[in-house]
Amino acid sequence: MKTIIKLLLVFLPLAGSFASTQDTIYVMRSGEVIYKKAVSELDSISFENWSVNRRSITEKIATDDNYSIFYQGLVATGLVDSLKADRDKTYDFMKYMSLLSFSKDMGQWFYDELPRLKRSGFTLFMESDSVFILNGIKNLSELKTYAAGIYNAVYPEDAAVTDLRNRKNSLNRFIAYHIINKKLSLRMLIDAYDTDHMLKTIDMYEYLETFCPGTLIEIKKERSTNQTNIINYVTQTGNSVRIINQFGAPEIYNGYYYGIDKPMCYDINVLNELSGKRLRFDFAGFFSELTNNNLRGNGTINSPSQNINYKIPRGYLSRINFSEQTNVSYLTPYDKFQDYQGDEIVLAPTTGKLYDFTITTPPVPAGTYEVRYGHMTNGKRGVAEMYVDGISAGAPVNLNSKSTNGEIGYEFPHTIAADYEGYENDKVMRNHGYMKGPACYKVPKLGWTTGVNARYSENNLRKILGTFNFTSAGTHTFTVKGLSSGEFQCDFIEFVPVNALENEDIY
Amino acid sequence: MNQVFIYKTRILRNIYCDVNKLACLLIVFVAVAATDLAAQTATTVSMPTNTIQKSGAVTDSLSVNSVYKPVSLSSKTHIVDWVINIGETSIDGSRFAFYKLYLSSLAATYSLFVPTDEYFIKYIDPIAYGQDVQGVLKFWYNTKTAAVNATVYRYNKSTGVIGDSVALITNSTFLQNRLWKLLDSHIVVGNVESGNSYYVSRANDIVKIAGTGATLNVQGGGDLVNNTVAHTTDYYQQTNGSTYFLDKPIDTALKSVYTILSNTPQFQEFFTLLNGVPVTSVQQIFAIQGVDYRVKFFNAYHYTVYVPTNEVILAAIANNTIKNWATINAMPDGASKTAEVDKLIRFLKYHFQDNAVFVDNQTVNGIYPTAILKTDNTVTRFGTAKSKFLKVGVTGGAAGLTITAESGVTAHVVKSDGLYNIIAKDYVFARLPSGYKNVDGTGSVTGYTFDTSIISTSASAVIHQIDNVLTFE
Repeated sequence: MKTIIKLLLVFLPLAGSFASTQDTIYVMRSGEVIYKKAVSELDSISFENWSVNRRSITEKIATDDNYSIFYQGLVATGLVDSLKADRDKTYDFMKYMSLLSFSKDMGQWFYDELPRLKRSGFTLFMESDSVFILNGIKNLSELKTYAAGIYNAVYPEDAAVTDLRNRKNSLNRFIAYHIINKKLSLRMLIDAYDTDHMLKTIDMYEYLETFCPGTLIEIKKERSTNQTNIINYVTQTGNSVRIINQFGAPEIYNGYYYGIDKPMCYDINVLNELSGKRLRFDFAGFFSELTNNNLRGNGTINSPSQNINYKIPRGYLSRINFSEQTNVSYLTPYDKFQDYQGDEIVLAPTTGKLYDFTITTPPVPAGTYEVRYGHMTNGKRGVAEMYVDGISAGAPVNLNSKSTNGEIGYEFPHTIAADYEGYENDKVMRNHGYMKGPACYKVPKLGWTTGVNARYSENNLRKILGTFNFTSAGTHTFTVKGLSSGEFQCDFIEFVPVNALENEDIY
Repeated sequence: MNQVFIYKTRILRNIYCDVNKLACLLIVFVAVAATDLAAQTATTVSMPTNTIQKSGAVTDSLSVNSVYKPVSLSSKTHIVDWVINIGETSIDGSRFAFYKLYLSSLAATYSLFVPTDEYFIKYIDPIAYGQDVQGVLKFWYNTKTAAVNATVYRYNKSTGVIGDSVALITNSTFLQNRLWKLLDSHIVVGNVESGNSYYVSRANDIVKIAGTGATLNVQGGGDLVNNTVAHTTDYYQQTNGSTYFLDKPIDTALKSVYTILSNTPQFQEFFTLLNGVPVTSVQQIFAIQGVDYRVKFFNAYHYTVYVPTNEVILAAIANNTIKNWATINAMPDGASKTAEVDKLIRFLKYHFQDNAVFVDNQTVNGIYPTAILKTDNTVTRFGTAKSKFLKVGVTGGAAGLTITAESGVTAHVVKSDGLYNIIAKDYVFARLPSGYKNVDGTGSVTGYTFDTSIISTSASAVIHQIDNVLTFE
């Protein structure tokens, strides 16, 4: 059978050359037509490696008897139907070649690239039947009862929702909380972002948005114990969830699933944990497309090798709306960057125009937060207005200003005898609406910026956008309107509960 | 204009579809060029030569009914218009006028105060104020060069008498420095008719407001000392705030915290303690800067200084809450003496608070950081964490203010002597005043010429006398 398929794959290009006089291209497997397309609708023919044994994530889970209870929950809630997407076949990168300006042979420190595909992907964290049984859950009915006990406490207003397909139903929440819309291999949970930029003495956190509306999963990398992929660690109880099995490529083409050691729920403890701490999101993490299409998480590119500047076509990223005059790029981690996780998103206007865009953030719990955006200054940024959820973050800001200007007031720590650690200067900058960069990342290769870490770099700033009261859990929008020429750089965004400000560290 | 452009485009688009493509492209090109040129002509109104070229901004500042618009249209505001339109260059070579963008933005609400051209006759220069020969500047709009110049006159700060003119300044760096600082002191983000009397300007200067709308009056710290008032001559309610044309610039405070404390007998005991920090200590209270001295830990912001009465200070020394410098200096050198020095400095700095709060109409109810870093894990009233700044709580209003310390001790602003709501200003200059020649060219032979002098930053403070010492332990 494999031979037949190989023969088909070999002869199809030949057939294609003649197909211009025919109506339709057919691809067959096991004697059945699995794909057909009119020739007139084809611009090109390309082939990818695939195995006859490749399955979708749901097809694979359906056949894994160890996860039968969870799979029954997937089906009962209808969430199984949300996991079938693979590739957007309408996306054709060839249409966007005009976005490319810098080719590799131009010898710049970077070259432009386009995302070649637009794939979807999923990750599931699942309790096996044996894990459920250990926790007193022997079947779907008992899982429903269990889920109700957890989620009706967190969402008492939705306790009466009985329709299992309703996203507010407790079983639906339980199952949905285990699903991520990104294809995350084990290293892509957090280790892939632990680039050379990240200080190896400071714990790392990554936050994943789940299918359960308004919820996050926290992935922690704990340096002191050299442990990674610690899921939803709760300080008060010391509990966390761990991965004990993993399943994915090459067998599954659109995702990974992991067996976990205990039930994973967005319970009161997890909610309180996430509601009481700084939530820092790398901007690239907002966009599942960057992960699912292998743009993000490929480690650091070291100079003199050229960095990759992915030009993002309009409509490619679902979480950003930008004007026609705005050009969006994703720069992968580079050893000369002093960025959080080494990468950055840059939004630049076309010549003579101004940028204008809105990004949707991951969800955060309800509460009152100080919201900040982290960036690097380089004098090219321009004057801009910023908004959170459409609420102005204040008068326009001159992002060209050097951090050492009086209006920001940055001073290098360890240079002022009366303020050796720079805490007084932290207060000064806060009065001006700014903070130093976090002390948890650095530039691997000095030259463009300096400092042992971002706190010691005059180029790294956090702009305090303001204090905002979010009455319910959910996503938020960050809007920026350029008023003068310049590019806007997005490194990370922070949501800090106001009751966590007093004890916030410098990291 | 935009509507016409779009309309034309629609018509031309139809032609493009129906007739020869090349010919219609040409028509589109011409229409675009003509429209853009017309737009430029319509919106370019007596633009100073050193301002930006038209940027194609998403929000054309001149087409928005902003607080800037009255300035741009009036024949009486060439000076302020010039200042607002001073351009800057980004590292990529593009030009922009920050203040024009800032004041035209709908993202904030502004109160913009605009002295009209004829009233820029007496700007008391802060750097000259600290020199042997004081000077005032008269700013005027030079129609030949389409720029603002400054004529310098001698000035006697003791008598207030203005003497002969001694110089003409055309140095653009100097003029930009002074006039941007002046502009900042004439912008308040927010509505100054919200019910309060005191507001903080973009320059962190404090202004006092009386009246509303066309009858609004403004006083800066300097006006309050000299009993002068800036009156509104024209009033405009705009989309993003209000614009007030004034019959004089707002005079900011010129006296430093050091000067006010040292010259007020009722503050003498507290000042003696402030001024007695050993020169070997890195935690100095005052530093030689600005007009005379500045509070060393002030930055470009606004602050409140609480000054206990002389009697209360003496009582605190008597009951060993604090030691005075004479007692500390008499101690043998060593750890104990160092600890006492540190303790007294921390006590003193605990009376300096971020954020200016006033005895004013509206209620104050806030917790504010002071100048003292917490160095341990003891639990305090306001839950201050280690390595964060100890706080005070302030409540009150027009009747007075109550200050609550971390220790639970309370103090009240003493109003009986009128020693409250006193406004001070500490400057930071690029060089000490003695580093520049005087306005008339006299002074240090090695000094830089006066027209190269730069005001770097400034901080404002409001000083209140209080009836108790503040303690955090």
